[in-house]
Amino acid sequence: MRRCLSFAFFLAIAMFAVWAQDVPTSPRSYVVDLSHQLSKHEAAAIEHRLSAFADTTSNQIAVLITPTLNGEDIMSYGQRVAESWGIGQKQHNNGMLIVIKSKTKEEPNGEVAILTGYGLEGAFPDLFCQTIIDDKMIDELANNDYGDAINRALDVIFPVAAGEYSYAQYKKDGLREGLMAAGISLLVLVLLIALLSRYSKKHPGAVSGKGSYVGGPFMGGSGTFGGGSFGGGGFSGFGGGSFGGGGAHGRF
Amino acid sequence: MKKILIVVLAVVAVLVIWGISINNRLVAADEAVSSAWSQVENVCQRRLDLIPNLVSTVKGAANFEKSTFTEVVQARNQASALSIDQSKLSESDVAAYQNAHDNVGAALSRAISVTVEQYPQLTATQAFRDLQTQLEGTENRIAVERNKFNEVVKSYNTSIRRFPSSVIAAIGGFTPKGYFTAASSAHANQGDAAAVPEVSFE
Repeated sequence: MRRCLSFAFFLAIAMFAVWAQDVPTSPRSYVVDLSHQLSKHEAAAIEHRLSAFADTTSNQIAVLITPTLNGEDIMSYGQRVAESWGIGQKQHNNGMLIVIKSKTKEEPNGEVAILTGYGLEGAFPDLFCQTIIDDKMIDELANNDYGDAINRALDVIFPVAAGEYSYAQYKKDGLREGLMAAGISLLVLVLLIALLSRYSKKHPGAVSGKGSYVGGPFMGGSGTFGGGSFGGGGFSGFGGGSFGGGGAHGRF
Repeated sequence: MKKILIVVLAVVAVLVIWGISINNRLVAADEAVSSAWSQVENVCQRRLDLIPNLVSTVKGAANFEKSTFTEVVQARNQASALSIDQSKLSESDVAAYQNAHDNVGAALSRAISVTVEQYPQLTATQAFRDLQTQLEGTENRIAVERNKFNEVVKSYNTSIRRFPSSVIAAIGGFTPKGYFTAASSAHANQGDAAAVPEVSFE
């Protein structure tokens, strides 16, 4: 009987432990790499960027790389992490969390999510987070270049979070670059046709068939921003910011 | 005789002050519940507001059948027509609200999967993908705000049920509030709403 009771007790505790599914405890740094995907140098460089950014703008951005989500959806996992760490200032809720679930043998699916605190939802609508993930992170992550993915994302995030730049401008600049690329390719095309026609006049028969133009550098604009480098101190603790489920995610 | 009177008065004064402070704490907890509820309403409204966008995006597709979204529009109308007394938020109020809005979520997720099936070319468009991102973000927000509401209600309900503050709660007319239940089917539907159906090649 007693044995039975103690077994039940043990079972209850075990079930509770499973149910609680704890998230990593609040760290003493902005970068937490549980998968060891970043080199020491990369991690230190990103940590330096993030802490300098937090010091100058009070926006806190944390990065978590984890080998497992315990079977949970990445957005709800990230939400619990962000809320329990309290990223961002309490009065502004200006925190952001980038979660990367790395590929492992047991769980070969790679996932990435950007979560925004309440205060950053305006500057970073979900669609913008999705754009950052799709344009700046997915390919790099698929190539196992985690440091590059994070740095490229931060290049976009920093000026926007600092209020120097907005999503609307990002879209506009992308369009402008696209137009410029289109203009340049048109120019090249015209020149090429002119050259070819001259050549074919001189050497009839040398160019067979009609010129067919296949594709062109009509790539969408990919804006790059200078990543500001700040001098800065170390990690000064998260401020207790709150998150409301804003953000987006992707797979790689 | 006078001494006794003073002692009694002192005890009454202490009791009154204690009662007031408990009452104030309950009022603060009640306010917290109200504000958490407003957040829930905000994010649910956000989903309702997305529906016309969704319908007009899908309408652009060739041979679009209106019936695909009839159910969604009906559920949306029912949910918007529902008015909840924010000062009460009894168990049945919250359940009715949850039911109406879960219907919206479920209808949406069905409509989306039908759309994905019938108009595969549509799902490749940027507009549709943008809409899916927005919908998914809204579902996330709803889940988060419901959780937060439940937490606030839990602490409120605990304090009005626990002795001795329960006495003040009874005098002050504080009634217990309802929770959102994690209906497994509703939750599964929420997850589906934005996710593209997975194709397996087994």
